[in-house]
Amino acid sequence: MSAPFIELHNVHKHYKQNRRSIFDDQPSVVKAMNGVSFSLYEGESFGLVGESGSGKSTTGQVILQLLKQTSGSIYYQGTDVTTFTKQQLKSWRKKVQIVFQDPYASLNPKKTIEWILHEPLEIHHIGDKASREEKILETIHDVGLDTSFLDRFPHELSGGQRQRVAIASALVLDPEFIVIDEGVSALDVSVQAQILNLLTKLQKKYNLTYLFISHDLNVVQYFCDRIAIMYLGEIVELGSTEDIGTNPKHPYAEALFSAIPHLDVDEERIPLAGELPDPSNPPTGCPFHTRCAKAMDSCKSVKPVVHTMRAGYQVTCHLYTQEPEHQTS
Amino acid sequence: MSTPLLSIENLDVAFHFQDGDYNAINHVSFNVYPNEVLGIVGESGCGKSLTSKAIMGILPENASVKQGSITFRETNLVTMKEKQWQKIRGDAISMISQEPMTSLNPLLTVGKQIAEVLKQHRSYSKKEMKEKTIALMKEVGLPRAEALYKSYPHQLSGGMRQRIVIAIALIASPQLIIADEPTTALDVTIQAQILDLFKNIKNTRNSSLIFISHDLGVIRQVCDRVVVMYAGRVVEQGKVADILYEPKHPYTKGLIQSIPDHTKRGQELYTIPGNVPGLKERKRGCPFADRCAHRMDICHTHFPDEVYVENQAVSCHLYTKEEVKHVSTIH
Amino acid sequence: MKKSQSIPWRIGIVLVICLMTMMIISFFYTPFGPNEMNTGSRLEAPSFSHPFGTDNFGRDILSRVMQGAQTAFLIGTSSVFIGLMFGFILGASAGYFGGWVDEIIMRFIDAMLAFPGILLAIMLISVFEPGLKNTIIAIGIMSVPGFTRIIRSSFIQYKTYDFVKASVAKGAGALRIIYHHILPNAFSPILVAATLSFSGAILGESGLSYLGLGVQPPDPSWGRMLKEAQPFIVTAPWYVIIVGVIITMMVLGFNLLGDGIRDKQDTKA
Repeated sequence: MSAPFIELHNVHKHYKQNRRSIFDDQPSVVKAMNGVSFSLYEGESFGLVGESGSGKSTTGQVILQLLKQTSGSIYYQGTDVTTFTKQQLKSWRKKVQIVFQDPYASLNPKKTIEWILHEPLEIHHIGDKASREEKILETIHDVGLDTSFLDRFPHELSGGQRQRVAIASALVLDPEFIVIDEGVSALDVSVQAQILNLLTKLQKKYNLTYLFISHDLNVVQYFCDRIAIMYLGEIVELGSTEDIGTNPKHPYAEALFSAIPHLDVDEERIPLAGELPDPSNPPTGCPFHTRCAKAMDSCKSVKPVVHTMRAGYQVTCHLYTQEPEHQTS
Repeated sequence: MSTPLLSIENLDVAFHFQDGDYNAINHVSFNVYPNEVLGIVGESGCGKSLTSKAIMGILPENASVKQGSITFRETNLVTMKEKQWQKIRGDAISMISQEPMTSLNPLLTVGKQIAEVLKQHRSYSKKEMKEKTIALMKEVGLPRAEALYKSYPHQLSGGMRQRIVIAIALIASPQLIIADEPTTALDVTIQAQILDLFKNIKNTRNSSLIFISHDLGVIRQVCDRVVVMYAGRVVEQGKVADILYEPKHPYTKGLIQSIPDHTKRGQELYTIPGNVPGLKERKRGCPFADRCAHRMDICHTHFPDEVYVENQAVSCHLYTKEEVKHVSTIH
Repeated sequence: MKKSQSIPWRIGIVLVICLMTMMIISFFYTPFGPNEMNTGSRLEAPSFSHPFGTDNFGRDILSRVMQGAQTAFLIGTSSVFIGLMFGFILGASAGYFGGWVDEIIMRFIDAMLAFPGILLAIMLISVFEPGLKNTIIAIGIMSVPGFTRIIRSSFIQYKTYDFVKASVAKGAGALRIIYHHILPNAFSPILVAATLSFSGAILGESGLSYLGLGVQPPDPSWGRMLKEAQPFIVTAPWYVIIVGVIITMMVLGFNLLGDGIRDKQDTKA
């Protein structure tokens, strides 16, 4: 494979939580990212999947340096972005963009669509008046809207139209990489399909790389080339959509995929007991052992390491790293 | 079929604005039979939540029933007084809402909130109430029910809160439970747990359930029959399997086809062009006409009558004519 | 429902416009000179020539009330301006930057709030000297904590909005975020606070002047007039009542106005 486009190397992001009572002598720490490493390749859609509290949104924002990591490095085309100066960061921001989930909160309610699309060009002093106007027109057509939208305010638009505007405002700077943070989750099914098609079209046209963050496995399996599954700030499984989708290896991934309510079959589900543990007080050993049906003694005390099943497919679980006789069927 | 438990006939609900009344629910008719789970599915703004609010008598201040009837056990709910409503709500009909965070009182213990319903509608002793509450908490899958009885909502996770909300809805053994998007705010694995709980309720209790969701996959898991709504109209209804595998209405077909999944990877997703029309943009005739690939002149002027096609009831002009058109182009 | 909300709001507008008109007229015309004494007609009851009566020096109360409106509006506007300016700088920095900046600013504000506002003003004025300028400064400083808190909380609220984050992701700097993204959205709550603070300032001035620490004679001030009227509460009750009613009208007018703006904002949101 070619050199990675973006590479995360052992990234940690810890939040300090306020002390809950005066008797706690130490503030608790939530490890939203606990040693996350993965690579993205140019032109691909990489899906980051997990339940709320898994740290997937934090990961997206740390890659874009909207949140500062606690430790670790993030390489963008070989350069470590965590060491950027303010000026370097600003010019890098042209190339990387983000689209958020809620189309009602992601556009400034007091500004017109034209203003919203114009702002990024103004920030980076790109072009003159005429070329900016041209760029805005090109972009608004790219996302399937027409010029009549330019004088409108966000509240005059439907959810799908707003999401198109949010995408347009990311697109206007000709980015290389876009983080889509639950970008289609709040939309109705028929509108969601329109936006997914739009994202595919734009990816082909501009050779975009997507980090697609979502809790919806149906969408991720449709849209992404590779998938990483996060649990309590750690990646538990990473591989191609085909590999993971057809035969997930990690017990959590397995349960997650079997929990999708499907239209067609009444397949046997693997029920997952319990709920996400308190992230400020994660279990010892494997973070998933408290809910895992296949947990062994070693899972409670020993943290599993990343195990490469084959090139490009990794699982972090004792089931695959230990001697065969320890495996459960 | 047996006599329906709840029968909605020709229901119109309108919002009142300064420039006039706009119907958000238009000539909606459907039945709920004893012991069945009826799904209502549709996109936002189709009127599914509003229908459930009309049944509970909790319409927003600027909305009211314009015509039609909601008959529950031979009583027309529409003409009832607020006092009579209060006797029915929580007792004969109860509701589970989408947001488990806001539907519980943060200042009361969850046990008290469940028992409160019994206090209003039954005359049990304190001890009996507590026993019944704890038994039900166990039934809805809450571990250590005795300990949880005294906890406050903020001490519980989202999934546990939703179980409490379900317990509140079940405690008086109502004949009809309305669940409005009860799993939408939950994570997938928790949603699976709650859906299993609903299946359990269906098997063990003598209640009917109206299950509202935008997610056809979820509807498939728990419902017997389903009503498909679009822009305030019922466009299709029938058995879940019939509707999902053999949809007849172009909207239902489009909706099912636009769901992404792994089998459609690499292909362009089917989309229904345009958007759901806003309340004030709805015209005469079929509200789907502008987005429909099969529209005819009549669609813009008359809303079609409901006709039976195979096993389901469909409101579409494609089926109202004698010579049934060839409609398999998008399926 | 919408109509009933707008009735108090309309009353507020009418009251404020009436008092403002009175204030504007007083620049060009008052029935008598506000400081013109006439020992022959002391403490006269309201009559045709003196609609509000006269005071203990025989001055026309209507003329003094009119001129007093100038003082009231001047103090209201300038102290709100001072409060807003400092409140904005402190609140915006605390809310936008957070962390230790927030910590320091808010502890300072807490310390200010620990003194009752009027006490703080009295303290300031006794350190310097009573007079119009110092009254404005004292009342302005009194209103800083309120503005700081409101501005800080709207900054904190909007800072977490996705459109602000999206703009940061596009490379926008702090000033652009504040000016284009936070301020236009935070404008309404700030306007409400300013309106309510205006009436607070007038009340504060009345209080200070009543204690003799505010506006000094012979400048007419409503609070001072109230103090002067007090000894004659039995012999000339109209004096106290008229001045009291005027102050109430002013305070009520601005409060209703502020509430009205807030209600309009709520129904929009």
